Amino acid sequence: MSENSNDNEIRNLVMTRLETLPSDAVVSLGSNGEFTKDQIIESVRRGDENGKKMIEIEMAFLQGLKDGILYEATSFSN
Amino acid sequence: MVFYMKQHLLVTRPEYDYTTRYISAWAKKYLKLAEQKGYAIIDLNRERANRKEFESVVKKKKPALIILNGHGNNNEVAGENGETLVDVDTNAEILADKITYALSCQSAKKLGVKVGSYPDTTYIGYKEDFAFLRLEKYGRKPIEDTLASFFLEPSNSVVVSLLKGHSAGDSHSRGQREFSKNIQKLLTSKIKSDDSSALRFLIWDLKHLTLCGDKNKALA
Repeated sequence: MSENSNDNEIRNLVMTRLETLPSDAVVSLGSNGEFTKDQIIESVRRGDENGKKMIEIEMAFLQGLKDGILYEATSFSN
Repeated sequence: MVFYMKQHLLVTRPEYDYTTRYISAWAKKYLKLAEQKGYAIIDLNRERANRKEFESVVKKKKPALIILNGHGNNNEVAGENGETLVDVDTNAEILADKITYALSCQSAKKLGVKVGSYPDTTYIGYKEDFAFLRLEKYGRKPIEDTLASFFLEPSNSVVVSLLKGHSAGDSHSRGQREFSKNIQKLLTSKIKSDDSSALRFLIWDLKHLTLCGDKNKALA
C-alpha cells in the first residue's frame, strides 16, 4: 500500500470516528483554537494543522488501545 | 504574641475566548477552598493578567503556589489577549522555589523543564495541548457543562490536593487518577454514548500531564 493511500485511509478513519461527537460539541485544542464537530472534521479532510493535531490525538488513542492504555488508565484509578 | 503570616496563592485567569472563560470559571471552585484554607489570594483576572503586574506581585508577595490558566506553547504561558507572562528565555527564574501548576498547552515541554531544574521548585503542566470538549449551549454557564467537567475536575484535583498539603508528586498522581476515574466512567454502560467521545481527549490529557522538578515539595 502506498504512503498516500495509507494517509487517506487514516484520514477517513479519523473522520468517521469523529462523527460520534455530540452535534453541539466544541473541541478546544488550546492555542490552536476551538472547533465545532463539522469544522474539526473538515480540518481533518483538508489536512491542515488542526486536522493533523486531531489525527495525532486519535491515533495516539487507537495506538494506546493496542498497547493496553485503557487497562493502564483504569489501573491508575484503583 | 505570635504573628501569623498568611501564605500567598497567585492565580492568573485571562478571559478573552471560550477556552480561557471556561478554565477561569472552573478555577473559582478551588479558590473557595484556598480561601477556607487561609491563603491570601492574588487573583490576576482579565486585564490584570498582564506581564507587568504578574512579575510585580510575584516579586513582592512571593506566592508559595502559582496557578497559571491560559494559552501556552513549548516556551511560554500567556495572560489576557495572549500577552506572554512567563517564558523560557527571559523570566522563567521568577517561578524558582515555588510550586506552579499550569493549565496551559505544551508548557511542560520546555518551560516546565527549565523551571523544574531550579532547586526546591516544582512545575506541573502539560507536555502537549490540553484538549477538552464542551457543549455549545453552556457557553455562558461553563460550570454547568457536564462534558467539560470530565476534563476540568481532574485538572482542579491537582490544585485541591496541593492545597490540602499533599506533595507535588502525590498531587500529580491525584490528577492522573482523576483523569483515569473519568475514563473508567466512560467505559461503563451507565454513561451516555455521546459522552464517550471524550475518551480520546482524556487519554491524551492524562498522558501529557507532567511533573518537572521536586516531587516532594509541598505547601507548608
